[in-house]
Amino acid sequence: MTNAMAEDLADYMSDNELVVEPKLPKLDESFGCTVVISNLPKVPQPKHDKLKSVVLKICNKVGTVDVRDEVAPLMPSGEDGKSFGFLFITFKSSADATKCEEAVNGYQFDKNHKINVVKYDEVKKLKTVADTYEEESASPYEPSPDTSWWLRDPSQRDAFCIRYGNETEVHWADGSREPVLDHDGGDKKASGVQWCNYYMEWSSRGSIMATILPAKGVITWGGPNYKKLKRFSHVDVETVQFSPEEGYMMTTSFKNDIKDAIKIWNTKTGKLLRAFPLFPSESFKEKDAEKPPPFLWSHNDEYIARMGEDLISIYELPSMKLLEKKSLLANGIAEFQWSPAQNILAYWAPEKGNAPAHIQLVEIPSRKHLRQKNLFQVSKVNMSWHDQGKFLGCKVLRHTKTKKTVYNNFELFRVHEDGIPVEILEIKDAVFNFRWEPQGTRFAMVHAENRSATRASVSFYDMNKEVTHTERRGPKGSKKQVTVTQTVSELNLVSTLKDRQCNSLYWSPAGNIIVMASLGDTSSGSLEFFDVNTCTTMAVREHYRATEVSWDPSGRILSTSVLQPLTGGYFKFQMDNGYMLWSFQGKQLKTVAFQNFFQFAWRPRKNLLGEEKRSEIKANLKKYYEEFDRRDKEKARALYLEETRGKRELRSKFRDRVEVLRAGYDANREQRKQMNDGYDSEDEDMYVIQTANVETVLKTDEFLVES
Amino acid sequence: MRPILLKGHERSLTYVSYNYDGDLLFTASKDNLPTVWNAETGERIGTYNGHQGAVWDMDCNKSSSRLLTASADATCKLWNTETGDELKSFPHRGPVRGVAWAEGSDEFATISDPFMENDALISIYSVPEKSPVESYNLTPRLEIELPKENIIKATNVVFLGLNSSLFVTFDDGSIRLYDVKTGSVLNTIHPHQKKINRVSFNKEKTLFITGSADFTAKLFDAVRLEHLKTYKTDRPVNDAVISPTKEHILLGGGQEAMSVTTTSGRAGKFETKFFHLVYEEEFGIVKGHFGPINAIAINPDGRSYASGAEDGYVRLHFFDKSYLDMEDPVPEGELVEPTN
Repeated sequence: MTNAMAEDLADYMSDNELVVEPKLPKLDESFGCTVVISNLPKVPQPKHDKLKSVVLKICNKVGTVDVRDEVAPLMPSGEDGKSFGFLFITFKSSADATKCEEAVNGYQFDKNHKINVVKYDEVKKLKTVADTYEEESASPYEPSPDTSWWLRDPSQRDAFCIRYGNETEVHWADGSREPVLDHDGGDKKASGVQWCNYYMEWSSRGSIMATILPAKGVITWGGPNYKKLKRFSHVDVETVQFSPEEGYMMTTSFKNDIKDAIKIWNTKTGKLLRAFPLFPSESFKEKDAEKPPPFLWSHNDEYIARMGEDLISIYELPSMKLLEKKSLLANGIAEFQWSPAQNILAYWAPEKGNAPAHIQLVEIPSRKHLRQKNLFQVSKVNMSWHDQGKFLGCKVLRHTKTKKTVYNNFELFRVHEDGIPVEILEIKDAVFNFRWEPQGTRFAMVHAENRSATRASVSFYDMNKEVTHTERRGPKGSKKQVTVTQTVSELNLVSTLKDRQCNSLYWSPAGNIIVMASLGDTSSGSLEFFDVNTCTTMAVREHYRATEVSWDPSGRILSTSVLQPLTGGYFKFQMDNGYMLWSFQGKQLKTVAFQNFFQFAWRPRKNLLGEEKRSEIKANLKKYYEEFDRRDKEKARALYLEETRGKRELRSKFRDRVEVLRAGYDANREQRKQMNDGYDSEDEDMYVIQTANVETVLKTDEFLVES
Repeated sequence: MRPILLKGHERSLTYVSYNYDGDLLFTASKDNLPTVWNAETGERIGTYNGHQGAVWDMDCNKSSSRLLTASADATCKLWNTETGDELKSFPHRGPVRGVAWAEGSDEFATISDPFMENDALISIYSVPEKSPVESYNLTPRLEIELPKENIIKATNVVFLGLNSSLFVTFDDGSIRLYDVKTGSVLNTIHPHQKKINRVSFNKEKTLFITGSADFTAKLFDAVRLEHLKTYKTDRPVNDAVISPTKEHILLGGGQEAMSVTTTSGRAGKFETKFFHLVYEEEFGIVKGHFGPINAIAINPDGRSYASGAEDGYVRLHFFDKSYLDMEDPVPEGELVEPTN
């Protein structure tokens, strides 16, 4: 028996009186289930019960009211029997009380009384409030970070953000030198702030960076050190989208069953403007459960719209009220798109009953139908606006009457011309990809005989045609002839490239240059850099297994990446993660590999120069060229010096260290010699070079020599 | 640079090394025959016959008279380097992973894996060259039991500090220093997240470099065990060596053998990578192998190097003049400010 046990037993065996401490449940002193309902009518004694029963009826709708005697609704009244206008009600659970506070508060009881509901625990707090009001000292004004600082970069660089492993980094790149790290969130990590654990998103003009933390919501960052700007709380958020002018943003959670799955916010103030469920109506949910119809912004932040059943709901910003209190009727609508430059909506609807399939252009807010185009035997329409809203291209997949064979044709709307003429282009092949040239009038498409073809053709068309003809000028009879070049609106084929490994097209934002890529599982990741003006291939490159291609906003650098998704099914994409940067001519600038690479996003930048300024620059390119070339050289030199300075430092530091180690080693030389039996391996004299001559007789010939 | 292809092994290579003078090249493989080659001509001089399992490690003493081999047949054998005679076989209780001579070659240490109920061990044997072979004791002078928790395995062993301590690397990414006399742990560092595949020292044993499955190689000050540099790659690093004559690092690696089939051949990255020792920048690759490189060794004269790979070949490379004449990318001497 151990001592401790003995002591325990001794205590037990002793004759001391037993001290019994009964274990009573603790008295619950909280009033979590009780609410105070105020701003009720003040009624005389006889009407007390009537009022009580009315209030109880309301409260019973949101929860179960505890009606035991000790907690029965209590309505204090004055000496004259007239109630004070408030009432205590206790629910069976505190959750019900909370529900009551949320639901009943603000209820219009009658014409003059809008009732207030406050939890009793809240009311109790009022007791502790000091009688005199002490003015809070105003917090000093902190200017919000300058979100346009990066546009004033003296080296005119572009920025991109990468997400790999647990890191989120922003780098500078200008296409001629190594990308330079701008920010890696080091300050945030140091202070223990997690600044991104999901995808990030740049705002439409690049001023703000938004990071998604699905457990919490979205945080926006800006200014030179990416300071926290605002927090947008939204549990289970998966995507964030900015309006074109950045004034508003939309966060979406794809959890089907919550009623505020989509939230619209004011970007600057962080105020929630309105929340929507994922689907506009229940019937929609059943019809196409996979993809909810998206909210789309108009080009100038004036409206946001979503398709419903046979209608488009257009909301005005920032009030988020339905435009003119009614939705735009759109019978049978399947999809709509805003013009990127005007408040014009384009939508299409498939055949329905007697009504033919049609594409409709509607002006907002006048709701004027600008153009309607009826079509027959339509399977599907893909609409694509030109960047400046000049054209609308609709790829129409049509079938024959038997629905056995399908073919494509294009309906091309000239939106900026009177009456909006439509041109039709018929293509027998299957068309994979259709892209307008930014800043131009051309478009490109990938087509092949059938969907499974490994080799495809790429065709370029121009919406305008240059026509030259000769004209007689001058007085009548004169033979002077002048060649006149005119641009006429006429669709024409520029060229077709045959037998290409290509399934995706990427126009440079500056136009003219296009990269034809073959991406995806079965493809090689080949990249063809093509100059459309001269119809020449500048380079054919490859980024094996590339999943994504994107241009920087200026068209100087192309990035190709192998990414793996952040959630689910990633094992297929685990190999070869990383990104490559290329010049627009196809020169490889940089290759970076990561174990887990998730996102590559160029910082969008609005073109700050107007059309006129740009054409002026184009005209005087030589002058600018010299100037920039000189500056580039200066910068390269400065950078070289800067880099080598750092490297020199590293090198001399390292060499010093090696020197010290070497000295320590030399100090032990004698000891080492002893250990090796007196043999000093460092002593060059210990080496004996022996030269051995070996003679080998290869062949012996005997012959007579006549003397 | 045209390499000499040494075709002698039937299975994947596990280890290659030069002797102290750099005239002999020793290679070990998963077949049972450690081999010695003429380091200049690539001629096969001979094999050491006797093992019955994969040979994981070998070490030749400074005077090149004796060779130790560590094998998965649970023995460590002592050979006469020149004649190829097996002098002594030291039985172990598990596969022997590594072996190393002490300074002076009178003692050597082995590391063995846990096997059945036997624990992983570090054993030190005494084999003075002056005493007759028959007198060698087959039981080790000292046995150090490795930590049993988490079943970590030792991957490399080296004597340091004039035989005062034993340097051992582990497959959990840690490095421990043991006292040679008492067997107590002197120091522990944990520089890698994953297995340390190989460690190699410079000639003076003042610097060492680790190659790890966590896609990096790291350079350390061997005296203070201080981390100096990190070399990042996109594949597990199986071996890394420090050039004796240049401020360069050679790395070899590739996907693990089991996942090679998931990689396309051209993206296999079975190249030897060259990094700058100080700037940590990759500046060159040497292709050729069609399996992950398991072992790299650079000749002590810095003029050639050998790489052995999963494909069963050893490639012996002699550097071009252009490499040997290569200067540091940053000019030596003082920094010249721009004059404008």
